[in-house]
Amino acid sequence: MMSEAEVQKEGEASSYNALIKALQMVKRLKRLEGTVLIHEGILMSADTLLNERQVKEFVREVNALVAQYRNGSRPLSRALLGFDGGNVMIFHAAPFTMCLLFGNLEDAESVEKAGEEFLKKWASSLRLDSTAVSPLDDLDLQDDSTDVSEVPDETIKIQPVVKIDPEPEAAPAPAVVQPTAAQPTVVPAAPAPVPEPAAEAPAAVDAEKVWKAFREKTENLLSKVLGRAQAKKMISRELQSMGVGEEEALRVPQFRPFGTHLVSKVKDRTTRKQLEAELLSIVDQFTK
Amino acid sequence: MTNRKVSLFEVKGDRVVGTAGDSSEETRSRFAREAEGLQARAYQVGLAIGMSSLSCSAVACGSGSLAFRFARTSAEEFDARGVLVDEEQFSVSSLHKATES
Repeated sequence: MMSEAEVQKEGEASSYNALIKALQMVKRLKRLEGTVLIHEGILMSADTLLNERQVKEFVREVNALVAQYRNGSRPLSRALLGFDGGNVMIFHAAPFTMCLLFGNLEDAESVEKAGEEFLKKWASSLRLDSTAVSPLDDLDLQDDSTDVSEVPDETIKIQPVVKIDPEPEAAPAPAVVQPTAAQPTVVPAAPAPVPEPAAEAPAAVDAEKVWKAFREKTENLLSKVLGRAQAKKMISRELQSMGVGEEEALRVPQFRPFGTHLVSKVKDRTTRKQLEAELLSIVDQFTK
Repeated sequence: MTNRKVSLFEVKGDRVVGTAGDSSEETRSRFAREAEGLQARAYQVGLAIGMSSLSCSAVACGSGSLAFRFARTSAEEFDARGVLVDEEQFSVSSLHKATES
């Protein structure tokens, strides 16, 4: 017989699974090319044709984009990135970041509406900030009765940009004249966002201790289904793929998504569910 | 413009030209700075998934909204066109549309 707390934990774990299933449904209905869900900077689910390495790099770069805006004290709500081969719509509603990959840029509006509705539906169960999921108005330039005459005949010179060499395997240049100033620029890369820079204060030492304790407990948990060495290796490999060094620590809010991601690799459904529930109990010890 | 917070720009060569709204040097320089930052990051996202050719970007964030797109043909007499909105966040698909008009 399960206790009330255990039932609640299992319920929380299954709501994660329900969320991922619902996202798969959105993908099918909207004929998206892929979906990626990130929780606290950690990959929760990726339903795309991209390979594992590409997904990891994609998550790292999306995290960097989110961090760029967060560090500038103007948190990102939404982004649309269009490429010649496909497009990415990013919704950021802390602690979640949802990315929808789609083929035709003309579908951007319907994809955006689908993303909005999805987040609105899941806002309460994911405890998302309601302001972060409220629909955004459309910008209508017709309403703004543009008066171009107000514009002074001035221009501003922008900084010279550094052209990035095309990929070595890139196709020959098309006949169409490419804009020179519009080439990708190299801007000093922002550091990877997942590991917060460690402060020199005692708090950092505490954070490290807390992380080590969590890591050990997670290792014990995974050892139930793997060899200890294998469990240890799995954690190290996952951290490495996130760009987190052995000496660095994850923050407490990242514990759950990190652990859930590890547990999700367990193939057997019943064992996985049991481990998920146990993981939530471990995470609770650090969050309370 | 009735809404002074919406500004439109065109990038021609290494210059940013205001075409509507606030085209003060400060705003144009802000647009150039923010667009470059977004472009660089978007480019990296694209590279990660094997798409090196960025065509457009739009964001809604705490300080407002920004979008730009590159010219698709040489018939378009600019290298890139963009919109910057102060303070208000708009849907990114509509921001992208604004760069088409």
